[in-house]
Amino acid sequence: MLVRKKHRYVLVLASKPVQAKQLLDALRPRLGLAYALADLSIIKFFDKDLFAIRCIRGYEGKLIEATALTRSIDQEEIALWSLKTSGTIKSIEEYASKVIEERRNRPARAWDARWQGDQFHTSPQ
Amino acid sequence: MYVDIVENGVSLDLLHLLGFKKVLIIGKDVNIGTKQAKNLLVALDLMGDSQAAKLIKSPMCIGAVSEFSRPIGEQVFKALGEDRKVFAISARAFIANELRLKHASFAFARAKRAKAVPIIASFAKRDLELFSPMQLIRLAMLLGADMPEAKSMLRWLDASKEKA
Repeated sequence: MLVRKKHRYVLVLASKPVQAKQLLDALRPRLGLAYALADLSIIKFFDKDLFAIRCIRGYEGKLIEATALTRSIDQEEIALWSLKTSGTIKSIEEYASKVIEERRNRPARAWDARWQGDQFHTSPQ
Repeated sequence: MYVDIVENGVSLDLLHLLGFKKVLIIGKDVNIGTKQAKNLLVALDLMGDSQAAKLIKSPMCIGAVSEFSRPIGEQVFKALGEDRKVFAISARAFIANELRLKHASFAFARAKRAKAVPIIASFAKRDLELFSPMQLIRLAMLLGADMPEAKSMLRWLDASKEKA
């Protein structure tokens, strides 16, 4: 009997643009055996640094943990932040569009300055 | 309401984007150190246990914070538990190596047993050291917390308001 495995989707924000292969290679040592079992794939890039990762249900916690522990990719420092998990890609898409919108509405200088290590920042609403 | 504690200079709008509703700034909202100050979190790595326990009992102190460079003695947890003060766990510190993670999970269990209030925060010095609330919850679970406990470690300000 074939059992259809259910999936979960995790929305991840990176501190800088990243490629799918680089990212999966970086997550592999953090996930260990779970990497093979979770059937990870990056299914959609909403932006260069905002993407949805799909995994088999039950492994999303491990995946979030792995994103927290991944601090570098190809010897370059990076941060990966898990923003939302969901069982449907639709709600991930909605949340991603909210994130993109919020970033667009923010003064450009604030967003750029952050990645350059500048001290400039604005208060949350 | 998820709360994080960060150093001055970390981007507040990034924290907002990650899902935090409240941010405490070190040096402004809380102080970390070894001397009496308003809203003091005693830096356990910079002093001995008996000295720290004395300082924790002062009314200006709200709790203690550790980066787990050494194991923490029982008298510290006893002092924290007496007034149900905060035991802050620095996520940035304990993911650094396995020994610190071991110290942190022992300390978390002892803080719970002593009836102190264990909390988790990034204590980030810069943006790249931040974590999202979901990640902090998972890191709290690495220490042995269950899901409701892990969430309450991030919502401790709500609980302290209710108590007041």
